[in-house]
Amino acid sequence: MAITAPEKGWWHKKVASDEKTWIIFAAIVALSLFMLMVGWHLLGKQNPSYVVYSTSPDEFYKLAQANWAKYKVGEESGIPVVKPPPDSDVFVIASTWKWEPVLVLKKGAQYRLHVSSMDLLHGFSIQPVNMNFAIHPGYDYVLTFTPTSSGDFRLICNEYCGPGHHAMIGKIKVED
Amino acid sequence: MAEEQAGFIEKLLDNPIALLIMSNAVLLVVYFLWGLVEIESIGPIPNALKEIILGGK
Repeated sequence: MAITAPEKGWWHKKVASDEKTWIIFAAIVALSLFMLMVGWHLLGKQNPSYVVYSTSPDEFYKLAQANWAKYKVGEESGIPVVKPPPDSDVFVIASTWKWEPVLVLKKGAQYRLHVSSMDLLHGFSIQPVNMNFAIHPGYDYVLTFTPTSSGDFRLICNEYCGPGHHAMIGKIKVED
Repeated sequence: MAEEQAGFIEKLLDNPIALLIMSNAVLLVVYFLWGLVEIESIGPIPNALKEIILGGK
């Protein structure tokens, strides 16, 4: 908004040449900033691409149980340890206040992680690589994901979900 | 000479309160509708995928 109101009849006056220059300059700056945003999206270090399906907690739980039964290799504190083969679908469930299962993945192999919540909003965050996704109940988030370094990674919840939120820690082991 | 009547766009651009309200209201409506369309366009899990998971192939 201008500091002072324009004089009457401004609508019918021609735009001055210095003003035209500033309009063109401002348009170029705005377009350049917009293109920076597009370029950063394409070339920057982003979260992996993902697709979303609608589902229900019951349906997702059933699919996850079937998936884990196929690839289960053990248990850690009552939580199944699942070792899926490369290029497979892996199901991860967030619920108050735990992540299931413990995943054992192979470095350099591609997986499709299906992540959903059983109750309320959780945040799927792999540390220390700092990948973050908001996980709502009723939706299956499919992340195409390739671990690029081996070791133990922590899965934490980064959306406050109640008194046990701070203890909601899962595990992903990446083997060479 | 009689003064020329201001057109609709001119009147609108001369009204800072209308511009202030519109700059919020237009975005609010557009983003709200965009969100509804996005949510409504989410499809269910494909049956082929469900069969693979449940069928144990």
